[in-house]
Amino acid sequence: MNDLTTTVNQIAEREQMFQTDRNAPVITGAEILVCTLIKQGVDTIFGFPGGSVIPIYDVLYDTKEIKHVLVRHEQGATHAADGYARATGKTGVVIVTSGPGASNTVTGIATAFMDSIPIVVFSGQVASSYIGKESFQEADIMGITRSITKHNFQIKSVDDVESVVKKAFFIARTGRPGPVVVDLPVDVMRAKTSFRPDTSEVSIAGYNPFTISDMESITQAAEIISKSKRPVIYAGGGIINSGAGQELRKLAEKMNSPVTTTLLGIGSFPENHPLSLGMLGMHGTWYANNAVTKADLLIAIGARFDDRVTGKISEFAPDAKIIHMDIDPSCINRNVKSSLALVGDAKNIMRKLTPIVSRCDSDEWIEKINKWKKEHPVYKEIKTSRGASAQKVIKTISQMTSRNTIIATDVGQNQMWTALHYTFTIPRTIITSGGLGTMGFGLPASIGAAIGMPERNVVAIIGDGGFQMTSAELATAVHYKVPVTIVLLNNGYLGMVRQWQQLFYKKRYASTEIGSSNPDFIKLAESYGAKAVRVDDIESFKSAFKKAVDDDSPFLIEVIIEREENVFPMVPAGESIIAMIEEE
Amino acid sequence: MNLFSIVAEDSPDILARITNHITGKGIEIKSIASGPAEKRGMVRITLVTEISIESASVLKNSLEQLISVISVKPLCSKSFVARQFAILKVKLFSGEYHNAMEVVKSFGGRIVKKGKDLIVIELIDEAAKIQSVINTLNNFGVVESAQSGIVAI
Repeated sequence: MNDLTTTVNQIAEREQMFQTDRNAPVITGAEILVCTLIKQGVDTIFGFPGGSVIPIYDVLYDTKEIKHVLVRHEQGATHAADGYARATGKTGVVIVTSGPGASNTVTGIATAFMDSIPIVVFSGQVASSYIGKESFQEADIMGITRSITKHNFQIKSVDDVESVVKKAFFIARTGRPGPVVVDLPVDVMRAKTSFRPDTSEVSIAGYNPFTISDMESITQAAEIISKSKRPVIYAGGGIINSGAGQELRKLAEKMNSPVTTTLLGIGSFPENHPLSLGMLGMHGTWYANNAVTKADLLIAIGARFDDRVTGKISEFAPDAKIIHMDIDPSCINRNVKSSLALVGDAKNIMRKLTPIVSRCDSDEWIEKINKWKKEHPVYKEIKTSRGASAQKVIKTISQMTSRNTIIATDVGQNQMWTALHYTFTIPRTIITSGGLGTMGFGLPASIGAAIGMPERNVVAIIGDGGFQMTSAELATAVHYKVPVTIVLLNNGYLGMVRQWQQLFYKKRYASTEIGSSNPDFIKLAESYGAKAVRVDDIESFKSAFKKAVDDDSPFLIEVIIEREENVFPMVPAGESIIAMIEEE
Repeated sequence: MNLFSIVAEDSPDILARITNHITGKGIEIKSIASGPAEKRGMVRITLVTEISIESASVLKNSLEQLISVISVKPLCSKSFVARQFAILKVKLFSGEYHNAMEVVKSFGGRIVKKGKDLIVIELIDEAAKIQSVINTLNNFGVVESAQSGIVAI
């Protein structure tokens, strides 16, 4: 059977007759898999073939409904699927082969797990009778990924393919989203069975993601809020996952409460709004960290009190009552004890809460914060000894791009500069690895985001260190003509580690200098067939950037930046979040 | 000591899922015992840890987030029954048999095998009492001790 689309259509036509029609088509596990993916609405798969998944690729070869994006490394597939999921709100899908194919996905799966991103990774597996025998390209991916997935499955029978795949997607995208691995022994993919699609809803005994917070607790929250004079809303990635940006804005405006976001919460509240405090935490704004520390009420929504947010936990929001709203009850009271917990979907809770909250008596508080904003601005011009100031580059990108541009970052200084100096105003416009902090994430994630949102401009902001971890994905970008603009900030250092060494290790730059052995990034990009240009000042950056954004293919701009420019403010590890270093 | 009664879907890797999850949080499992639950296709696992009450509450919530886990019930003192099973191989010198029998009987144990200079005893009791029997029988010489995890309801 080669024409899968025809088969799917036939199946769809027959669905209503199945009650009486016993002549269901006999198809392979691989065909059932692809049929089920189509029914799940999958339009894109990021993957890399290998021996044990050839039966699946053979089916994909004829499948018009799904675009397969061939990456250059399986880690790139998972990051691309992750970027696709973050940008579109849909579930990212990956297919890789057994053994090294599967084990290469580990970093990408862990990245998605830490940031609650829905991806489903299909890993090939050796034939069932070969499992556990140290067979060629065998890896126990179930054991390996157990602690970095929301759940994982190994399909034992061709008759279970559809039900497991449906469960995998249901688990990945509902509740607190996360990655799911489905391990596919090759014999199960080759096996045939008579297949009739099951149209019933997924039901899993131990899994009820649709928790609804009780009205009594919501009323209690409204009462606590009404007494607050110094409220702060601390918004996390849960707002983005819930699609609750509008609800957050309504709540904040009705309460007259400032809003600070986590790194993953950026975009959930417009940063040009008068109530915005920007990001809090280790590299948070001075006024966000001070507002949290002096607040009498902290409302955490879809955030988990990560150590990069709280700093020294005993000194975090010491005077505040804490209301914690989260869909995951295991986050409640884990790091910080809350006065009141509301477990459920952020959007649902806020829709019930906002109508019954009253405006806080917080004018004086807002006035004080506005004064802090003037006294402690985030952006400060720096003098450079060579090249451009990275902060100024980010500021310039912010000024030159439309508000719906998607910005993907790598990890390190480039990421923090972007978080601090780019003004994000709408959800799903920043694609960044927060929890795991995965260098190498930026390029493949930007490719996934650009493929998922072809109508948007996508800019990847990456350092010279992280870029080299996954630079082979330039080939993917060129092959699929992905119009991503790559801004490569080159300071010749693993910059964030160097910054720590400068500030806390007496400038002993152990193994952080990479400039002397970096490749010629222009030649590298051009060798893949990408356009590339090197600049070292803001004016030439501006003209290069305009050209790159207008171009409909991958375009790399290498920006030579000041070698030892630092990210400020910065809270030394383990200190209170108001113990900020603001400048050199 | 914190006891949890966990009901989970029976699958070949259910114990691995639960133990991985707990040890990944840096929590030591003091005892774990698994067997079929009252409902077909489910297992009931008795888990024992030594963590603070606050940590126990967080652990309960996080175990409940595992897809295969149906419920997690912390067992509070006085409201549950907990038992452990032990089989002990005790070396006896001549003339010690009757004394050893007395000890075993006084603890409600049973001799399940009797050799020339060895007896094998089975005991079902609270963990502390089993330890107490072992201590007493050590006067004779416990050469092998096999103990189950705590089972509680």
